Amino acid sequence: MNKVVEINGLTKKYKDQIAVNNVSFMLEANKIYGLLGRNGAGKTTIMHMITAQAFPTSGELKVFGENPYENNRVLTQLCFIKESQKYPDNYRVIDVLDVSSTFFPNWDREFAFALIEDFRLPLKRRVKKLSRGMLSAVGIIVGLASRAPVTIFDEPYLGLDAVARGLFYDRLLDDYAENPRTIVLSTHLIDEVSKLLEHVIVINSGEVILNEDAEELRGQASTVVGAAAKAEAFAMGRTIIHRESMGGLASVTFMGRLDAEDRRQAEELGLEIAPVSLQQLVVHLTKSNHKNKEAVSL
Amino acid sequence: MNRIRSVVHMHMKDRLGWFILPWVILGSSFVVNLGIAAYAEETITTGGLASIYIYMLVGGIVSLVQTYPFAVGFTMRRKDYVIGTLATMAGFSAYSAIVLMLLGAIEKETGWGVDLNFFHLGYLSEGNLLAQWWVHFGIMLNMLVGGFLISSIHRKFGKNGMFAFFIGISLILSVVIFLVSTNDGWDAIGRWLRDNPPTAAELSTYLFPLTVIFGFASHLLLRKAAV
Repeated sequence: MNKVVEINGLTKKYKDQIAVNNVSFMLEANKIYGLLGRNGAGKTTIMHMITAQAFPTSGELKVFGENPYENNRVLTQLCFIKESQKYPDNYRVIDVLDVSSTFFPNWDREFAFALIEDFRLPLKRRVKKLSRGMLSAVGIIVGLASRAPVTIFDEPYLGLDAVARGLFYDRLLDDYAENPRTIVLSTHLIDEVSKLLEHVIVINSGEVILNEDAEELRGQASTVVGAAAKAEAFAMGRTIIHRESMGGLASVTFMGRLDAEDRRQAEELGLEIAPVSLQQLVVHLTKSNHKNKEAVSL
Repeated sequence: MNRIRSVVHMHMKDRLGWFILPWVILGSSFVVNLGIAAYAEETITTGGLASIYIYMLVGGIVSLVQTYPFAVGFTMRRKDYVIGTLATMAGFSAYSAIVLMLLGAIEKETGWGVDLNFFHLGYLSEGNLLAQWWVHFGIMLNMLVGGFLISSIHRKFGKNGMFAFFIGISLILSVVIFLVSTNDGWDAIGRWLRDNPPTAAELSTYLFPLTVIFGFASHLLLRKAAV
């Protein structure tokens, strides 16, 4: 196991609030991670600290075994594409690519220009004049072509249509297969990326509430649908994370796997078992702040 | 590519800001003055040259606003950013000072045919060509780095930090002026200046350590500035 990022008790306090509270996790080499959570959960702050753009209040942070702050051995191996990335006003798209090629040691020029074609970006247009979607595409191209050993995408596709997003996922997976590296995707569109993700970390209110292999995660929660009383009876004793009812019907979602015995029992009660998608799971887990925290530590 | 060179390269990509705008601004001032001089009977001496110096101050402020979030956002080390930026400013001042010095030399010979003093200005242009170059270089670099420092304060401490800084500067100046006045110091200063009049090139030399301090201060401020 090759750890590229190690975070231990990381905390970031601002004047009147705690943005990141005692967070610990690690990232291994050559995996695709999903860093998920609601707006303001602290994801972006964590990514800023990993890339030494913001400073931790306390805790330990190591990237490639070293402190990333003012450390070229680390910084040259990182690429962080964020929604709010700024570009100089007078830069054209081609200027961004040209400068990026000198910033990122693994830059692949041919790949960058192939992506420009894919996303149909006008090379000579000023970045300032690009539409929101095109601006996002510029970030995505830099992120992919940088081939940085740790590449972080924070909400990279604001304004991009479904076709372009699909293109991003395809190119990412193709290139990842040929040039494995650690990729972190932070996004709201969990369903779209859930197939890409190998490991999922969910942040809520500045804390890690889930840190699990994506494969493990599938089937970690279940939903039963059927007559309200029967569904409730079936779920009794389990950690319920969501309830919905309509008339006499109810759907109850709870943590935990269902074994063969559970399934037989559900069938007897006339209950249907529905899978819980990653998106549903994250939505449930992050909807209320405290109630669900123990649910995760199963 | 070396990181500092990457930063210089990043600045040079902004051709409009570094290579075109300063000369467009100075050039338009020059053309207007040329027109006036053509109609005027006597010799015209003008301070239009100041426009490029002011541009440097603004340019120093703007360059940080434009490039710091970009560069550090793309994981450039802050120290490399500052060194690369100061190197760019020094190179730019050096080359612009050569242009101004040459224009001054042409003007001294020709007066542009209309007896205009625009680039070659009495006290500022005393001494040999090297001295003239040094005056232009010193002023421009000081303006650029001074603007960069002001922007660094803003980046680190925000708007309130800027207010506090300028209030602090005015307080210090007020105290200094007050102390000189109460001790009848102005006479002494005046006498000293009369007996040891510094040349413009010497003043430029005195300015240089200040420019270096500005650069160091910017580095210290940006070292811990978030993006």
